[in-house]
Amino acid sequence: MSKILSFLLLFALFLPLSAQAVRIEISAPGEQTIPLALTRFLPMGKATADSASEIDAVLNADLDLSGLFELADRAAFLSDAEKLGLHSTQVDFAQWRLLGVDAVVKGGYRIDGENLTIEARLYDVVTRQLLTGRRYVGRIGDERRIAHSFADQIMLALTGKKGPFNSRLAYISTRSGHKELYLMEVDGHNPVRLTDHRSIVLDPDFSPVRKEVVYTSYKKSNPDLYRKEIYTGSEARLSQRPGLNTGGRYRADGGELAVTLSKGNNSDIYLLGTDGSIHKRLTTHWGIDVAPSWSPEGDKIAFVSDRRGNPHIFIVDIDSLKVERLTFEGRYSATPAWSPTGEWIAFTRRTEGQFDIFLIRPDGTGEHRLTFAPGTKEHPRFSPDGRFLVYSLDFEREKSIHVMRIDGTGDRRLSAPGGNDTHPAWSGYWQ
Amino acid sequence: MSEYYRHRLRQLQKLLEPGLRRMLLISFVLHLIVPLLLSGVLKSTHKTPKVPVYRVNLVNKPVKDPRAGRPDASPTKKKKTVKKKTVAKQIPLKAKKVPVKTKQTVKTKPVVKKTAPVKSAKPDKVAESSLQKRLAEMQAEVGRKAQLDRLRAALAAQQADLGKPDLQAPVGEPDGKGEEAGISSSRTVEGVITKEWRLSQYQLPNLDLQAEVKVIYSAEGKMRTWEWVEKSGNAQFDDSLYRAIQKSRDLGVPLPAPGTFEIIFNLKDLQNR
Amino acid sequence: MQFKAVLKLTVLLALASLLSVGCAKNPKADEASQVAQTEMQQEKIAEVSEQAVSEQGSMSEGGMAHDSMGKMISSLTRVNFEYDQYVLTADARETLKKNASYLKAKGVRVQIEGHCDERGSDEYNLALGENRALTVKKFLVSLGVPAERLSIISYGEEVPLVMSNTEEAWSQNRRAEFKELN
Repeated sequence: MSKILSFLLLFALFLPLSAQAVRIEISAPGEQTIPLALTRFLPMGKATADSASEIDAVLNADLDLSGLFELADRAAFLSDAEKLGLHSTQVDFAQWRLLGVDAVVKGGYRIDGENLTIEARLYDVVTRQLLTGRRYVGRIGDERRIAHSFADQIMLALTGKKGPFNSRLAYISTRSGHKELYLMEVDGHNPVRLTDHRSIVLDPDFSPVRKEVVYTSYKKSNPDLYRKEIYTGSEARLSQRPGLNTGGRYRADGGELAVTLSKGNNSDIYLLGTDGSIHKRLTTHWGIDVAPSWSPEGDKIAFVSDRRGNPHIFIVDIDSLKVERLTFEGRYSATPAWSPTGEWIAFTRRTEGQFDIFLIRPDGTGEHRLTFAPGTKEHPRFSPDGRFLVYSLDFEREKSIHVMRIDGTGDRRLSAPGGNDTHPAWSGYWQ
Repeated sequence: MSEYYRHRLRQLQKLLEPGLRRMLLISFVLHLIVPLLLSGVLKSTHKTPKVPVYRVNLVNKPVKDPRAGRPDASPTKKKKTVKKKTVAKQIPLKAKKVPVKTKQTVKTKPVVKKTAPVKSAKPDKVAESSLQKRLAEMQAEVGRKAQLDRLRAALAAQQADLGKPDLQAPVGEPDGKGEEAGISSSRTVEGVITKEWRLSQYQLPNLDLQAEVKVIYSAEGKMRTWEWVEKSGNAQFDDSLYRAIQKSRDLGVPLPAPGTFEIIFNLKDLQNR
Repeated sequence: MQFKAVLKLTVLLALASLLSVGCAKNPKADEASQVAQTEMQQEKIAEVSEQAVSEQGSMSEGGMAHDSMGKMISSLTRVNFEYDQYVLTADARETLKKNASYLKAKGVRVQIEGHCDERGSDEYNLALGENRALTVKKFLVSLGVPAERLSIISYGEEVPLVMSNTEEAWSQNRRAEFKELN
């Protein structure tokens, strides 16, 4: 019997540990940002201040726009920030733990003649694991592109979805005196003019599969649809039917385009092949039908129509040609843009004398306004990952291009002052 | 006597498998413990008055400037988001100004620690009781969930069973025992782990995620062990919890007693925004 | 004794379970295999050709409205529209009747330009301008002007007559204009 008793006592010892657990519910993280230390990239050989600063500036801006991070103050960095050691065995994780960061970015660059090698790593400070590491081989001058690429990799490592920072924006600017097509990086750097039509160029869209843009131009005295290969510069007219050939938008696989054609009569939405031939007429209505935008699955198209009086957003099913109305509020809703994730349709609506950007789900629920600042906002377009929206702002007679997160936060101006920049379009992933 | 038992055992052995016999034994032992616990034999005779308990969440701050960059990010808007939070959170905020609050076990805040003896050094008995009254009223307002109450009661019972609470506990009831101490350990654990849990909603496809871990802390506030009870299935969410747990290996303060904590992580507070 | 065996087993089991709880697993793979190398593709954007284009050629070919405005024929008067409308007002009908008789007498080919004010989305305004030009064309045809002598084009909000954001400017910019073609 004494043995039973001793067994009981032993059991009782384990009791408080195993039997009676206290239940705690934590229903939000302490902070909704990841504390990250972004160290300056160090030279692996000859040092150039330019390369390090450029990489640093790009990573800083991209990571800030992502909204994911709280970047640790550099003044607090300890000796490990000055050490090139990139391998996990060389990183002094204890120092970074002391600083309270969850992750650290370390990197180095080497310049060898014209060649540039950049090595960048993202470490989990807590688990001391490499989250992502890349070695980039390029040329001097590629620093910005490489830094954008690595920012995309950081996003991939920490969210499971690549960032859009190494993609491009096309837009229309009057900096040359005419409305011409331009291309720039997603942070507004390195603008390049692509057209020299000296006429009116409008409403660009990127091919999702090739480095190519479509746009409308009055070059040949009619608003025709053009396409242009960005890197060869070769240009061709895709649709030159009398009247409007506008609003060209590629399907997500690049196989077809939706377009507004008026053919000298009332405007309707059509599907074109990549050779410009008409595949299908989607709307047949006496009202105005313009501004098509594809669903990511390519089975539906959102567009603007005044068939019920005021301009509103409608959705047409490509197979059945059944048209359903999406927006009901307000008196003027326009320029729908379907998110690549399929979750939202962004559009503009006139409120109190100005246009603002709204989001609505494709089933008509969840409508909400994103922008509130003074000035008219137009042409919202999603980033290829669906995280950001780019749009043009018309404020005090100056038109500029802005970007924000799809919850309306993080808004910032991209285009340089003094221009008249409108109609942004976001490319797909660029590489 | 033993002959008789041996005989019975042999009889049983013929009927049953040996494994089942072992299970029967364990079952019998377990059944023996239940009435033992319920009878209150192990309970200390000392009766502690029921002290109202308030949640002070100094760690789980609302997200930094949630509408940053938006023109509508006005102070009035911000107030609104605070109001949306549970009432339970608001009450402690008010209670901060009351001296009695110093009895709260906010172990993670050394500042409070230092001020505690000064403020409660000369407690006016009348003022004290009136304050207690007010606090009791406030508690009634709070209207805690019934389940939480049951959990607390169970915890208190357990803490009492485990003998004298730690008198070295930096902040707590003046006499360092009672329910307060029991609650404080879960508050401490919750506070530290919440603070170490960093996760951005931009990392997640949706906010409908939940995971559960079991953590065992020693009385010194050191993590003995932990395990997943249930993962959310989302890599980013689970990784963030892994980091939070790793960073909470040392609570930095001792607990009144060692304890096992089953912690449920979800994003309910973010969903309501 | 059997009790002893059971006791030992229980203690062992308890210890084993405690140990197993303590083993936190490391899910991450070996880091060396994760450092991927990326060759940056060489990409150079095609230079924009900047060769001089004779202004004469670009005008006749480009068909800019402000160029065309210089060629406005005094006898053809522009007509204005209500906001977001392409139906003709009574005033516009009167003006177009005069224009129609002029066109019938002279037998010239004319392009009708539809324009809008700057409010509203530009895609929609392109279609609205198109419909304005079309309405004017149909009315002129109904008055006996041969349809083959009339062509239409929409400039949407791209070519305002008055650069200002006042009601007055907007009402002037909502218009259909006539450009004589040779």
